[in-house]
Amino acid sequence: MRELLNLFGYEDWEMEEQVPRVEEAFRRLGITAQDVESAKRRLSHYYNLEIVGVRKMLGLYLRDLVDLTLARDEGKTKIIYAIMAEGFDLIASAFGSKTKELFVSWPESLFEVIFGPGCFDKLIPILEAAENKWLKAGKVCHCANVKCLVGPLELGLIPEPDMLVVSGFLCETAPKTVDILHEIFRVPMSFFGTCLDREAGEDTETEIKRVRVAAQHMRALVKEMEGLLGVTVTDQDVVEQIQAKRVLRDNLQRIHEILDTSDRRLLSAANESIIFLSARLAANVGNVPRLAEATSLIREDLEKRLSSDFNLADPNSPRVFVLVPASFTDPRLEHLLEECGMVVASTEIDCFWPDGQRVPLRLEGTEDVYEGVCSYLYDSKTRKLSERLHIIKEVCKRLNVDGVVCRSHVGCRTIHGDVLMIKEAITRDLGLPAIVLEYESFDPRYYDHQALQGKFETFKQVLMQ
Amino acid sequence: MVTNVEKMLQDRVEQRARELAELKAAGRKVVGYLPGSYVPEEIICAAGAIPVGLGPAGDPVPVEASSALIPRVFCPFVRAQLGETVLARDIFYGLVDMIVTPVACQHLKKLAEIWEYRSDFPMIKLGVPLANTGEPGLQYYRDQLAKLIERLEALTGYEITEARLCSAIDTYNNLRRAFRRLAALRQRECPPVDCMTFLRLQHASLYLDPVELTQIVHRLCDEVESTAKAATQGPRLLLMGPNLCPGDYKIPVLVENAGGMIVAEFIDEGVRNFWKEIRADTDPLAALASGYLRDRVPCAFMVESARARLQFALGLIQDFSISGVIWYELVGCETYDSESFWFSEELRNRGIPVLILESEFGDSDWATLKTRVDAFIEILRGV
Repeated sequence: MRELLNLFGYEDWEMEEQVPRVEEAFRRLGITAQDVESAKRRLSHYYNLEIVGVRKMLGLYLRDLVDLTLARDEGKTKIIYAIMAEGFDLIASAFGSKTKELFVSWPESLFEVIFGPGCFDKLIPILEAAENKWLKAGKVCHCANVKCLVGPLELGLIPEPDMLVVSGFLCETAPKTVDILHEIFRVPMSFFGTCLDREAGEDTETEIKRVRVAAQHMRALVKEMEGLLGVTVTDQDVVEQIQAKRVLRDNLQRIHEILDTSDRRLLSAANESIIFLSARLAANVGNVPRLAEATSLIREDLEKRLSSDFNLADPNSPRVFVLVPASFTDPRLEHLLEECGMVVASTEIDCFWPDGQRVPLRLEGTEDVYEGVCSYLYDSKTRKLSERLHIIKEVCKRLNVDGVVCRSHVGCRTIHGDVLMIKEAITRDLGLPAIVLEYESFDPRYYDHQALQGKFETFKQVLMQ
Repeated sequence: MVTNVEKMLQDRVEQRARELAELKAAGRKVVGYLPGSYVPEEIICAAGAIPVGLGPAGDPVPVEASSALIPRVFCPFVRAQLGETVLARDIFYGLVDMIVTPVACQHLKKLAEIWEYRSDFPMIKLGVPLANTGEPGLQYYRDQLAKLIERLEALTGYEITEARLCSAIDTYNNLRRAFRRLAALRQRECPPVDCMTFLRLQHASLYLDPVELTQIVHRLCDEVESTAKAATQGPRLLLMGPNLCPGDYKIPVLVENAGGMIVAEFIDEGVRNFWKEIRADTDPLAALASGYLRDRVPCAFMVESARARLQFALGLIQDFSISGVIWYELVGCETYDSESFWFSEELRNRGIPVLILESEFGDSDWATLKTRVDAFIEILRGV
C-alpha cells in the first residue's frame, strides 16, 4: 500500500494517518491487494511518474475518492455531486470556505481516473451497473461519463448526495441523467445553464445574452445552496476564490505554453486531462494549495526539460493534433499513438475562442463575476460547428502539426456530430491528412488494441509520405 | 367516411404544394420550420409569409443519404432531414425561402449547425433554453422570438404589428380548439375517430392553411359527433414518445393491426401541442414566449421535466380511460430513452402496463416490432 501511495505522491510523513483511511476506502470500494499490485504497474507504464507533480496530481484524485467514500463518517453532513458543471468549482469552494460540513465531488471524474485502465481497471462493472438501470448499452449510445456517476450510486460505493448540480453548457444528457437521479433519490437538483444555440463570435448581442442567462442561473444556484447550507456567499467571496486559484491558472497556462511552443515532446499526452481538467478538484477548498503545489512541480520539471535537450519522442516523428481532450478514463489511446511513433502535439483541451488560446481571458475583469465564471462557454467544444472548426484549424497551424486524429466521443452528440465535417475541412483547407476515430472517451471497452494499432500504423505511413 | 378524410387530406396536401408554388411565384414567401412545438407559426403568418412544417419521416432512403454528413448515432429524424437536402427531392423543402430551426436538443442543434455551415439555405436558428421555468430562460426565448420577427420582416418586407400577431394567435387558437374538440370525442367509450385519421389531420396542419384546416376538423366533428359506432375497437392506448412525423406510421399501423386502439398521443414533434391556447389578453410576444416555452408540458430534454411529463401523461390516462401505454422512440434519442426507464417504473407502480419500442425508419424491424406489439395487446386483452 505504501508503495502505491508513493506513486500517488503521498509523503512518508502522512502515511501513518492516510494508510488506514485509504485501506478502509479500498475495502468499501472493493479494491483488493491484487488490484493494488496491478495498479502500480499500470500507473508506471502510462503516466510520467518521474515527475513528482504528476504523482501528486494523480494523488489528488485518489485523495478525493477516499474523502468521498468516507465523507459521511468524517462529519460531512452536506454532500453535493456535480457533473458537467464547469465553473461550479469556484462557487463550491466559496461555500467551502464558509462551512466545514460541505463536501463537493465530481464522482464520475474520480472513478474514471482511479477505476480506469490507467490505474485499477475496474470501471466496467460500474458502467454495467448504470446500464442495468436506464443507461443501456447499444444503439442509443448513452454517454459513459454519466454512467460513471450513476454506476457508483447504484452499487452503493458512494454516499447518497444532498444535492445534485449540473450545467447544460454542452448537452442535455447530463441534466436529464440528473433529473432521473433527482426523481429516484428524491434529492434536490440545481441546474445552471443556457441555451444550446451558438451565434457567431463572442460579442454579438445574442452571445452576451446567452452568457447572461447562464450567470443568472448560477446566481439562483447560489441561493439554493445558501438555503441548504445556511451560509451566505457574496460576489466578493467568488472573486476571492478566483484570486485564490490564480496560481493554479497561471501554472496551467504556463504548462500549456511550454507544451505548445516546444517542438519536442516533453510530457506524454496521456497526462494531459489529469492535469488540465483538475480544476474541478478545487471545488473542495482544501485541495487548492495541493493543486497549486502539484502544478508548480510539473511546471518546474517541464521548464527544466525545455531548457535541456529532453525529448520523449524521435525528433523525426510526425506530429498530430487529437480532437477531444485526452481520455480521463483511458490513457491507452494516447500511449498507443506515441508507441506507434507519432507525437501527440496536443489534444483539444482548453482551446478557447477565437483562435484556440489556452486560457479563457474572461474569467477576471467582467462586470458581473458570474459571467466570468461562465467563461467555459468559450471553449471550442461548446462552440458551434463552424467556430469549433475555426479554432481547431488555428490550433493546428500554431502547433504546426502533420495530421489530425479526429477522435470523436460518440456518447456526446454535440461533439460527435461535427466529426465528419471537421475531417473534410481539415483535409480540404489545411491539406492535412486526418482519420476519424469513433471512440467513447469514458468507456474502456471501446479500446481495441489491435484495430487501433493497425489504424495508427497506417496513418503514420500516410503522414510520413 | 374516415377513410375518405384520410384520402382527402392526402390529396389536399399534394395540391397544397402546387398552390404554394403559385403563391411563391406571385411573390409570397414560404418559411419552413422544423416541428417540435417551439417555432410559433403565428409569427410567420403575421409576417405575411406561409409557414410550412418540414419533417418528412419514415423513409430510410434520406437517412442513408445523410451518412457522409452526420454520424449514425444521430436520430433518424435529423438524419432524414439532412438527407432530404442532399437528395433535393422533397417538394416542400424545394419551396422554402427560409428555414427556422429550433435549437432544442443536441440532435436539432447539430442539424442546424451543419445546414448553416454548408449554407444549404437561409436559416434562422431559434434558441430554446433547456430550462423552461424561471425568468432568465423565458426572457432569452422572448428575445429569440424578437430576433425571428426582425429576420422575417426583412424577408417579407411586412411589419409584424401587434394587431397582426393577435390575429394570427386567434387563428391558431381556433385550430387548437378544433383539435381539442376532436380529441374530446376520442374520450368516448366508442371513439368515432381512429388514430391514423387524427394523425393525418395533425400532420396536415403542418402544410395546410390553418383556417381551412379548422373548418375541416369542425366538419368532421359535426359529422361523427352523433355516431355511436367506434372507428376501431380494442384496448385503449396512449402513444407516447419524442417524434411521430409525417410518414412515420409504422407503430400506429402495427397497433391497429393487432387490435389495439390508440385514443391519445403525447408526442412532442410532429403531433401538435393543442392542449393549451396562447393567451390573447396580453402583449402578444410575451404570450407567445410564455405559451410556447413555459405554459405547455415540456419535452423530455428540458431540465426537471420528467415529473411534469408524468403528471400530464397520468391526466391523459385518466381522461381517456387508457389501459396501456406504448412508448415509441427513435434510436439515438438519449433523453427520451432515459426518461422511459423511470416513466415505465412509475406507471407499473400504478398498475398501468407500458411497452417501450425503439425503432428506425424503414421496415427492417417490422417483424420484431409486430411480435412485441401483438403480445402487448394480447396481454392487455387478458387484463
